[in-house]
Amino acid sequence: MTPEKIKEKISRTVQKITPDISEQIILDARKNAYKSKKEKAGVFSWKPALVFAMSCLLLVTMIVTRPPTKVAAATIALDVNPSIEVTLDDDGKVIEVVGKNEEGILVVKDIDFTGLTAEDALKVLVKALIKKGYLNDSANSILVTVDNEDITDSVLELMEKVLAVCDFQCSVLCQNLKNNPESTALAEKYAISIGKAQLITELIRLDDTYLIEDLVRLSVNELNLLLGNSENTVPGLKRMGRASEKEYIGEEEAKEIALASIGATEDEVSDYTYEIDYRHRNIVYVIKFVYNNTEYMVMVNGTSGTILECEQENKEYKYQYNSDGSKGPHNDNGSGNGSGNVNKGTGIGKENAKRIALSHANANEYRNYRSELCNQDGRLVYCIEFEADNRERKYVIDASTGEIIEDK
Amino acid sequence: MTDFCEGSIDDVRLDECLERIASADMDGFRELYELTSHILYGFALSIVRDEYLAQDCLHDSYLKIIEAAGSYVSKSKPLAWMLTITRNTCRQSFRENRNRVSLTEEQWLSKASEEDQVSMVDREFLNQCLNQLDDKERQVIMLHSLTGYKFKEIAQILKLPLSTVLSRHNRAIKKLQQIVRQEE
Repeated sequence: MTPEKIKEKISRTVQKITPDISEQIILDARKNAYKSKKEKAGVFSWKPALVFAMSCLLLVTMIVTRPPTKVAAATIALDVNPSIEVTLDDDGKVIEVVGKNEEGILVVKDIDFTGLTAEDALKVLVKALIKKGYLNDSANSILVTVDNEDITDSVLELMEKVLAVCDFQCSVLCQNLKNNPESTALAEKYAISIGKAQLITELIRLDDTYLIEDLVRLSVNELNLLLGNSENTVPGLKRMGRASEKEYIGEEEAKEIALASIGATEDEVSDYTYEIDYRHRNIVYVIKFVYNNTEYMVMVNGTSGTILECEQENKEYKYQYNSDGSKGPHNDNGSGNGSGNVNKGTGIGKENAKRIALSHANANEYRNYRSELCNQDGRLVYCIEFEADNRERKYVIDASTGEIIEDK
Repeated sequence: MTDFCEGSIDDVRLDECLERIASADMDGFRELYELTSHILYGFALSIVRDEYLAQDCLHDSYLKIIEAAGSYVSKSKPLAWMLTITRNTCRQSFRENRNRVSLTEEQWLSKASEEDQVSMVDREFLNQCLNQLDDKERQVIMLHSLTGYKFKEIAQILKLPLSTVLSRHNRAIKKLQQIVRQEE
């Protein structure tokens, strides 16, 4: 079909479905005019002679000096923890600034934004947010939600300019408001801003293992930390600067903890990567690397530095194992596994857990072995999975006693 | 309603209508409505994507046009002025109706049976047009389909560079052609 035919089809359909409400509009216009006339008359009716003079004067004054009716052209919503909405007219001047939550109301309550440009209003707001301690070098992220796609880029540029005066590095997340009923329902249910709800909805769409109940509790800075994760690239979201990690142990310390937990040094590992994520109700550092032909994933609590999960995986090498437990796995070049104990404390250690599981399964040959040290109802356990005799096996073994809690 | 592609909109005639409205001649409004309602409604629909909300926006936009007709100064672009009012009204309404859930596809299609003039196929096509194109693509395609305006004029109304309007138009046409091919 040609472009002309397509447009003709659209035009024809729209013409057919356009409602005829002209008489209703005429009626409402007359009502409005009457109402407006009556209101004016009501004010001055006590002195008819003066009414005429005043009306004339008023009319002349209105014609000469009446400012154009301000129509909202765009709204910029800021979320730090305080949520604030700035409504602009077509000239980029502020019509109103409204606090959308308790903290937001406190930030804007004593400030007069009348007639300010968007830039000036944002400067004043940023200053107030810093002064009241909401924006600082530990919580340096601002979520900006714009309902007018045309100005998103210029708002981001504006924010960059406004935040340049800060003596710490800020980070801005900028998104367009989408008419998404899911986000609206979320915002209402948890009393959060629509912008934050939209961001959470997008994050859950990317990774459905995140829980809404968890993410709604996170600050904008914490959500921004998750967005630093390469798998969490939200379409259409623009990001400037990095979220502050000052509240957390940082990548270097997390790496040291992870490597020490398996007895490796930095020189001995390859394919090192790290990401920040939210798991077990904590901001965590997920450290991945290869050590002795085995891929490791160690999840370190971002606040306390404790290890929450440890997982190893070897898909390429088939292991031989003697049922008496005397020999560890080996690969085709004959080298042993050689990794240290995952648990250097009082636990049985991952190797013993492995022996217990393999021995119980009577598995001389096995592949795709995975183990995780995790917290199950307050009890440290090894969750082990592998394939043996063309069957998937799963074990849960108490990390302290070696007791088999579950086997499938 | 007016026929499609009758050529560009008769701006002189629209100016005359606005003058008549300013002097409280409501027949002037009836004529203006006859000439422009499908354009304003289609444009509103492309912004809010909800028939009921688009009708509300159409209503409020015309009220504003009637109210402002007295102070309107013709710059030979009355339709562009009316479209700007419509766009601002839609945005305002969009903000106020964030909680509103748009018509589902079933609801949208069921309306076809209520309106004998519109075939199910046409309505489905329009529905696809509203759902498969992004905001700007929809607005460009709707304005170009309904007004017969040149891309340069559409760029002015949407406050976008001409090249952006052209690329969005081409992208939208490709998407719509694909939809038509799938339907066939």
